[in-house]
Amino acid sequence: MTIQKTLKVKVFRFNPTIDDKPYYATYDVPFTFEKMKVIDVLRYIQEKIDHSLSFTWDCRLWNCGLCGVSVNKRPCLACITDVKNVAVNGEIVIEPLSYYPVIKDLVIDRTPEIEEMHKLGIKYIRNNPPEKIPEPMNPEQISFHRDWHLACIDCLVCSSACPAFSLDYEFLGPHLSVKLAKYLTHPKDEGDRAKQAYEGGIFRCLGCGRCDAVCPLQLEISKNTMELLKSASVEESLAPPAVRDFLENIYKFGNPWGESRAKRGKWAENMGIEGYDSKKHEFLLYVGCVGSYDPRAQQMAKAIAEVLLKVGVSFGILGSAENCDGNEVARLGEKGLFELIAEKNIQQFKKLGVKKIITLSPHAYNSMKNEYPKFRGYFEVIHYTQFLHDLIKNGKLKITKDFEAKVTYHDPCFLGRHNKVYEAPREVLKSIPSLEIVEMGRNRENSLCCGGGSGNFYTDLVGGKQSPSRIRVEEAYNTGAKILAVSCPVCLIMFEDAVKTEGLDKEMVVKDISEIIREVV
Amino acid sequence: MWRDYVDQIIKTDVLVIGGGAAGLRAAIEARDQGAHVTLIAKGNVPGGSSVMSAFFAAAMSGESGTPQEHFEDTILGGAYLNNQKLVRILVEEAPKRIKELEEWGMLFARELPEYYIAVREGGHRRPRLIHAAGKGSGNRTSHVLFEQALDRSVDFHIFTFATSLLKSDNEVIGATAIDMKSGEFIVIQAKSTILASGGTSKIYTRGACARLNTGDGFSMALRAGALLTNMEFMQYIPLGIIHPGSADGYTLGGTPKAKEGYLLNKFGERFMVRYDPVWMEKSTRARMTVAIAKEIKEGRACERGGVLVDLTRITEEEKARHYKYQPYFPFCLKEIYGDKVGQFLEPYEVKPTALFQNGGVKINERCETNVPGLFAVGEVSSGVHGANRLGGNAMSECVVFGKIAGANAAERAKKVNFREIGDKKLKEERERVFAPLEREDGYDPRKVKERMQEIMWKYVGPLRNEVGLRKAINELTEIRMSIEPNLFSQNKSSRMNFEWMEALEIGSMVDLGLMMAEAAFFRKESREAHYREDFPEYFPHGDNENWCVETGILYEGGRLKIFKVPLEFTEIKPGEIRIEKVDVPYLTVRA
Ligand SMILES: Cc1cc2nc3c(=O)[nH]c(=O)nc-3n(C[C@H](O)[C@H](O)[C@H](O)COP(=O)(O)OP(=O)(O)OC[C@H]3O[C@@H](n4cnc5c(N)ncnc54)[C@H](O)[C@@H]3O)c2cc1C
Ligand code: SF4
Ligand code: SF4
Ligand code: FES
Repeated sequence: MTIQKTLKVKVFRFNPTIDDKPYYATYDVPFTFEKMKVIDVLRYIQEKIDHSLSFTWDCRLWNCGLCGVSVNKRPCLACITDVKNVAVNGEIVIEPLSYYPVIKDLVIDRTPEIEEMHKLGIKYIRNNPPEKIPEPMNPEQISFHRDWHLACIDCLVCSSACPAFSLDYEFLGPHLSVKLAKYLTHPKDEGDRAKQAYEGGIFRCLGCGRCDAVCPLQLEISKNTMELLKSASVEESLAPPAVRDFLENIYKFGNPWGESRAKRGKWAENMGIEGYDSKKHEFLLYVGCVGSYDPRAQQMAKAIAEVLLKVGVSFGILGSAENCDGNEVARLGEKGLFELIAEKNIQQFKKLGVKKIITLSPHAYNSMKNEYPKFRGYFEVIHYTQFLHDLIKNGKLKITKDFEAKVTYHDPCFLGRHNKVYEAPREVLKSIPSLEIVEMGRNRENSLCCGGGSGNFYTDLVGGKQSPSRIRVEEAYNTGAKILAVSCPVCLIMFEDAVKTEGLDKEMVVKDISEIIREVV
Repeated sequence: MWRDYVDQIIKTDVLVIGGGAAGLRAAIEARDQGAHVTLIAKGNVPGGSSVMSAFFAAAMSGESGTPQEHFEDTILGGAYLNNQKLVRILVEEAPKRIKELEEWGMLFARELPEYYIAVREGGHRRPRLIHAAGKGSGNRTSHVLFEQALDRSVDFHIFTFATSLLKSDNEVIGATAIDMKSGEFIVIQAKSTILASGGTSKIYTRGACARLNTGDGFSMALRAGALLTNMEFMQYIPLGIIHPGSADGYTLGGTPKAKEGYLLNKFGERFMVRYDPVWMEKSTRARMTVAIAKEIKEGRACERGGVLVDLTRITEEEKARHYKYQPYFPFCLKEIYGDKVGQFLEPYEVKPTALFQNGGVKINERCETNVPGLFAVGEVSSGVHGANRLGGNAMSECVVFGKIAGANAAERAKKVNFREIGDKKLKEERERVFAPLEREDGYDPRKVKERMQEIMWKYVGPLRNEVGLRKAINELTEIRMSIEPNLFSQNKSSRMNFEWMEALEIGSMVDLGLMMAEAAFFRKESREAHYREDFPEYFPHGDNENWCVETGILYEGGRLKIFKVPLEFTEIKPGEIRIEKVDVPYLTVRA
C-alpha cells in the first residue's frame, strides 16, 4: 500500500455482559514508523484512545502466542505483522480469531482447545523407558521433528484459519494436529498417533493450505503435519468408509466414482479433438477425473477444448487411456497408491513422448508440477489459465466480444496458495472488454477453500452449514457480482451446488473462466 | 460470613500461583505426591518469561564439565552472595531434571547421537548451556511441562490474577484472585501455597520479560510477612533492542553472537577495551551493561541513544549455525531492524534493558519461606543466583526447585487442615480490589505506570547513586500516598478489563519499586548487577569485608525494614575461587 500518515482502524467490539451483539469501533491511529506492527496499533488504541479495548499480549515477539487476531479477515500474530503489508488503502479491520468464544473484544477463550488437548491425551508416550539419557539419536532422525513440529507456540492462528475446523472438535484442527504430529515424528515415541489422528477426524482436512499461509512459525502444516498424519492412519487402515471407497475406486478404476474407464473420453465425442500423438501435437491436454466424468465439469473441459481448437493450438487428449493424476490420493496420505499412479502416468507420458501438459485442474497441475519430478517425471506443466494468458499476451487469442458483467474470482487452493498463481487468471478476465472484476475480501493467498479438496468433493466429510462452499458463495454474492468465476473443476461443482443450496441461483451463476472466454472469442 | 464477599470458592491441597516453568514443574510434582493441585496464572499457560528463554545451564557430563565447576562458576558469578546450599542442589540436580525432561519427550539439540550441543556464556568456564531442538528451550520446556501437568489433571485457571495471599494467624492459607474472564472475585483455600509468579523487569521502561510479570508475587509475599532478600540485584542485559514499537526493550541475548562481534560507540570505537580489555565483548552482563550505560551517559551514544552491535564479520559457518539452531535470532533481527540487519550486513543499535530479578522471597532448601504454608520457586525466589545470575541458571532453577517445592508443599498438605478465613480481611481485600472500578474519578493507571517505569529506569537502573535513589524513594512514596489510593478505571466493565488490572498492578509495582530502591540505597558498594556511581571502587566483585551479606527486607509496622542478613558459606569462603584464564571453545557438541 502507499503509506498514509493516519490509519483507519476498525476494531471488533463485544462485551457479552452488556452488548446484545458485536459492533465495530473506528479509531484513527498515526502511522509512525516503517515497520510498525499490528500490536503497536492496538496498544496505541488501548493506551492512548480507548482504555476499554481488550486485547492480550505478553511477550511482544513471537513467543507467547497470545496476540493472535484476524486482520482484514486474515488471522495473524499481531506482534510480527507489519501494518503496511496488511492495510488496504490505509485501513485495517481487526477482529478476534474465529471459532473460539469471545471473552471480550479481541480476547478469545482458549479453554476449549486446552480441554480437547486433555481429552485427546497429547503427550509423549513410552512403553519402555530409555536405558540411557541422552538417548542415542541421530541428528538427522530428529531434524524433521525439530524443523516442522517443535516450534509451535499455540497461537491458534492456524485453526482459526481452517475452513474444516469447528468447536465441536469432530476435526481436531491444525493446531492440535501439529501437537500430535510432534510425537508421531519423535523418534522414540510409542503412542498410537495414527489412531488418535483418525479419531480426531484428520480426513476432514481439505488440504487447502490456509494453515500454511498463516502460521507465524511457517510450519507448512498441510504437508508436514496433515498429510503425514493421514498417511499414518491410512497405513494402519484407519480411514472413514468414504475415503476408503474413494481410494479403492481410484486404484481399481482410475477414478473416484468407479466409472468405467471406457467412458473417460466420452465428453470429447464429436468435437474433433484428436488423441494425443507427439508427432502431431505440441501439447497434451490433461483433463482429469472430475473434468472427464462430472457432467458440469465436462462443460468446462469442452469449453477449453473449443477455445484451443479455435485458436489452432496443436493438442491432443488421452481419452480412455487417461488415468487419475493422484493429487487427491497424495493429499489423503495414500503415498503408496500415489507413487503407483505417478509412476504409471510418467511412464505413459514418456512412452507417448509428452513434453508439455496443459491441465484443466489445478489439482493435476499441482501434483504433476511439484511431485512428479520426484519420480523423475519432468514435464512442462501449464495450467490452462496460464496458457490462455500467454495466448492473449502474444496476440494469438483475440477477444472479439464484450462481456458485460460484474465478476468475482475465487482463487482455487491448488493454483493459488499452493502454487502462487494469482495473476494469470485475473489477467485473462481483465482482457475482456466491459467485464468488471470485484474482489472478495478474502482473495489470493487468503482465499477460502471451496471445500472440495483432499477428495472432499467426493467424500463430503465437511458439509452442512459449515460447508466452506456455502460460506464462500455468500461472500461472492456480497460483492454484488453476478458471476462467480473459477478456474478449477472442483470449485465449479462445489460452488454450483452451494449456490443452489443457498438459494442464490437466481442471483448469481458460477462459471469457469474457460466458459467466459468461449463466449467472447 | 466471608463467603458473602466471594463470587467463587476453590478448595485445593496445593495452590500454585504462576504458569511458567517453575509453577508447572511444582504442580506436576505435587500431583505425583497425591495432592489436588490448582494452578492459576495471570496469562495463558504455559506463559511468563519461561516461554521466552533459550538455555539451560547444566553440567551434563563430557565437555560441559563437572557439577563442582558449575557450582564454583555460579558462586563466582553471584559474587559470593549465593546461598551455597541452594547452589549445590542446583548443580547436582540440574542434569537429572534435564534427563527427566527428555523422558517427557523434550529433545535437546545434538550433532552426535549421545551428546547434547552446548554453548558458553559469560561467567561459565565451560560450554554448558544446552538448548532445545526447535524453538527456545524455555518455550519447549514449558510446553512439555504443560502437557505433563495437563495429563495429571492439574486444575488450570488461566487469566486469573492473584491479588493477595490469605493468612490465618501466622500461616498462609491460600489466596484471593480475580477471574479476569468474568471479573469474579475468587478465594482459593489451600493447605500449601506455592508462589511461582516470576520476575518483574516490567517495572522498568526498558524490560525484557513478559508484560504480565509486574512483580505481584514479591508484593503479595511482602504483605504476607515474608522475608525478601537482595532486591537491589536487578540483572540488566546489555544488548536490549531499541525500537519505536513494542519490541523496545526486548533482548536477543547478552553477547554479540559471532566470534568477531564488536560493540561500537558513535566514534566507531570498540569501547569495551576501556572497561574489560581481556574479555572485551565477551565480558559479563553486568560489566557490559555498566560500560554501555557509561558510554551513553558520557555522550558517546549513537543516533538512537545506544551503541552498535556489529556482526558484519560473522563467518559463513557461524551464520549457518544460527539458521540451523537458532533461526529465531536472524528472524527477529529482520522483523525489528529490517532485512539488512537480518542478513548480518549492517550493525544495529542496542542499549541495556532489565532482565531478571536475582533477589526475591528468601527460601531454604525445601523452598519454604519464613511464613508457614508459603513456598516460593523460580524467579520470585532468592538465594540461588546471589548478586548476578549466570545465563541458563534460571531455567535450571525452575525445574530443579519446582520439583522440590511441589514435593514439600504436597507433604505439608497431608499434615494440615483447611483453615477458616477471617471475614474482615476478606471484606477489606474485596473492597481494595474493586475500588478502582468503583471510583468515579482519579488517576489514569496507564500514565502512573509509565511514570513509575521512568522513575525506576532513571534512578534504580544500571547506574545508581544516593541522590537518585533518594529521589526514587520519595517519588514512589508520593505515588503510594496520594496516587495509588486514587487510581481509577474509566472502563467499568469487570470483564477482561486491563485498565483495572493495571491499577492493581501499580500497587505491586510500588511495593516492589520501594523494596528495590531502599535496598539499593542501603547497599553501599558496587557488586555485579548493583552498580553505585558513588561507590565504584569494588566493582564488579564487591566489598567483601563489609558487604558480603544479603540485604533483608521485611514489612513491619506499616513500613519496610531493611537489614543485613549474614550468609553461611558452607563450602567456599569469599575470595577462595580463583580461575586462571578460561580458554575453551564457545561451543561443544559433546556436552
Ligand atoms: C527474554 C528473556 C530471555 C531469557 N533467557 C533465559 C535463558 O536463556 N536462560 C535462562 O536460564 N533464563 C533466561 N531468562 C530468565 C528466565 O526465563 C526466567 O527467569 C524464568 O523463566 C522464570 O520462570 P518462572 O516460572 O519463575 O516465572 P515465569 O515464567 O515468568 O512465569 C510467571 C507466571 O506467573 C504468572 N503470574 C505473574 N503474576 C501473577 C499474579 N498476580 N497472579 C497469577 N499469576 C501471575 C504469570 O502469568 C506466569 O504464568 C530469560 C528471560 C527473558 C525475559
Ligand atoms: S490444509 Fe486447510 S483444511 Fe487442512 S488443516 Fe490446513 S487449513 Fe485446515
Ligand atoms: S502451528 Fe503455527 S499457527 Fe498453528 S498454533 Fe502452532 S504456531 Fe500457531
Ligand atoms: S505478543 Fe507474544 S506472540 Fe505476539
